Amino acid sequence: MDSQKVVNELQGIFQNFDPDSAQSNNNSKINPEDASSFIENTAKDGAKNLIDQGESSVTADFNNINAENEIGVLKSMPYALMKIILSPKILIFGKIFEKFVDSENAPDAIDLIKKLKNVIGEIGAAFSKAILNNVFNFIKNQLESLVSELKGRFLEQQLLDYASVLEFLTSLISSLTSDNDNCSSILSTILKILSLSSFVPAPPFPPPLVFGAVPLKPGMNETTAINDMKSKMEEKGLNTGYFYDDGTPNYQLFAMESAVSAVIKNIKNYSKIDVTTLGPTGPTQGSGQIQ
Amino acid sequence: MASQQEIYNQLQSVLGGTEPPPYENESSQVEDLSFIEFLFTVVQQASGQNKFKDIVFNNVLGDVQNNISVDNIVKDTFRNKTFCNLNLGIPSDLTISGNNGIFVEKSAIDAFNLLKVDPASQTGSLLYNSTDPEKDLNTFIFNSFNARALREWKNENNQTIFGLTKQGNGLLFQFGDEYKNGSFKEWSEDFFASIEIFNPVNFFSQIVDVLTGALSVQGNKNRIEIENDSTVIEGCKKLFGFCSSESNNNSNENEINTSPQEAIRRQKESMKIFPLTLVMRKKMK
Repeated sequence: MDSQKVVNELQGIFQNFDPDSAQSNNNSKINPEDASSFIENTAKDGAKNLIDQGESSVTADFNNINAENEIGVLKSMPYALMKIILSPKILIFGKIFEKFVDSENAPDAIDLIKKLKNVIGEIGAAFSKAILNNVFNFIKNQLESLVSELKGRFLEQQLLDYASVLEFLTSLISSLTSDNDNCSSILSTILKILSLSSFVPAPPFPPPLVFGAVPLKPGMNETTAINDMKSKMEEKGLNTGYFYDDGTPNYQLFAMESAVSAVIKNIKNYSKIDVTTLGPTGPTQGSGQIQ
Repeated sequence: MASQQEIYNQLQSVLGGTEPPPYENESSQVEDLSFIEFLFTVVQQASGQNKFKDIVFNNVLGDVQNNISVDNIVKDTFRNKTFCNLNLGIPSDLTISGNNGIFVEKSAIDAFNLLKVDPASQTGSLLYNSTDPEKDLNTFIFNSFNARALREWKNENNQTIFGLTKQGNGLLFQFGDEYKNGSFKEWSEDFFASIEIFNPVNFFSQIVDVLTGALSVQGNKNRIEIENDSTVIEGCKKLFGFCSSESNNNSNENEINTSPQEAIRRQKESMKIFPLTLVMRKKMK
């Protein structure tokens, strides 16, 4: 690292800086971006020199070096403040004060600092506390933002899940309400699923030929039956709309739907199948309910 | 590192509290730095290195410049700790028109060898608040060491606060004539009102010097002087509440150990802290 280069670049940062208006002019403050770039570039130059000298491991460590330097900047602040405060302009006051209240001679700066330890200690504690509080509050804000962000992401995911379900339902409803040919097949698929989910186990020993395929069938359902009936009517050229073009109700369709519905209901509620089989212990009887 | 329960408690205190958790004593609040380092680790892991850089540069550096009033802290502390309760009078013979003064050795006021650096030089322009001896007291003191006649430090009302005359390796200090038979307290108030302590350029330059030593090298300090600076800094660490647990175990808490062995040990410690310092020390060898 070339110390002359460091000083040149440092001065470059402050070329527009007016030292005599530092306290009153906000434009005279150091730009944190410039300060950050300066530290990074200085480290880069130093690392390059070390690499040129054969320290190739520096390349791999460069990110860590940068991170360490940033912590170094933070840690060096109290020392930098200390060097500013314990400069001749303050120590000359300390010297005069000590001489004034105590005739004993203070031979050097270390002794003077020792004598002023309470004052310096209090100043140091004030700075340490200010910096610590600052770091604390900033990190607290960061963590709070992080928590909010995570919470937001969680809610967003939940919303996406809901949206996905709604989208599925919407497409399903539109399929069911449309007049296309898929209507009956989608409906029957859903009915099949619903029927399977409410499947009641067959009697203790159902005959294989009668009941073997029961779990695979959708079961009897009036809607399916009505739809099938409508399909057959359409094949024969009959009107399956609930109203004719002139607005007259299609009583024929209403009557047929009521009939089919009543028949299905009766079959489901009152019909049964009795079966007699021959088992190892002799003839056995069983019964099943039509679903 | 603290136990998981402690870390959890600390994290809880961050999210739920309004200020950092209490420490057993003030001197340990920043030091081991384990709590702060723990928080830094959290931020680095959660938000990345750039966010961490924000904390250091945009937040802390910006806040030190803008919101933490260094001048007020220093002046108020001196006011409360020293001259506030004093009722001392200034003898007439210690004023400029008197026959006596207070001799100030260079070594007594120049803890970091600042006066070796010419304020008019390139490095000096970074380490002094101003090259104008009427605006910066450090520049005024530097010039006084290189002047033959009495030089007077004045406030903005052109009132002489004190005068300095070079005598051998030191300076003869005399109060301004207006303070003849006046109170030391009044003079102290006027003294602090006449000086500016914090300056952003000086502050950042000192940070760079702590990290790299580049300004010390360019300021013609020799290696022994640079090491002495480090010794003073290390010695003052306790006073600034940055004592490590290791140094807390020393016998006398307020004693500053200036032995050569201690200086070397602390020099090594500082190299551990600041990688750039290590690079610079290698270069110096």
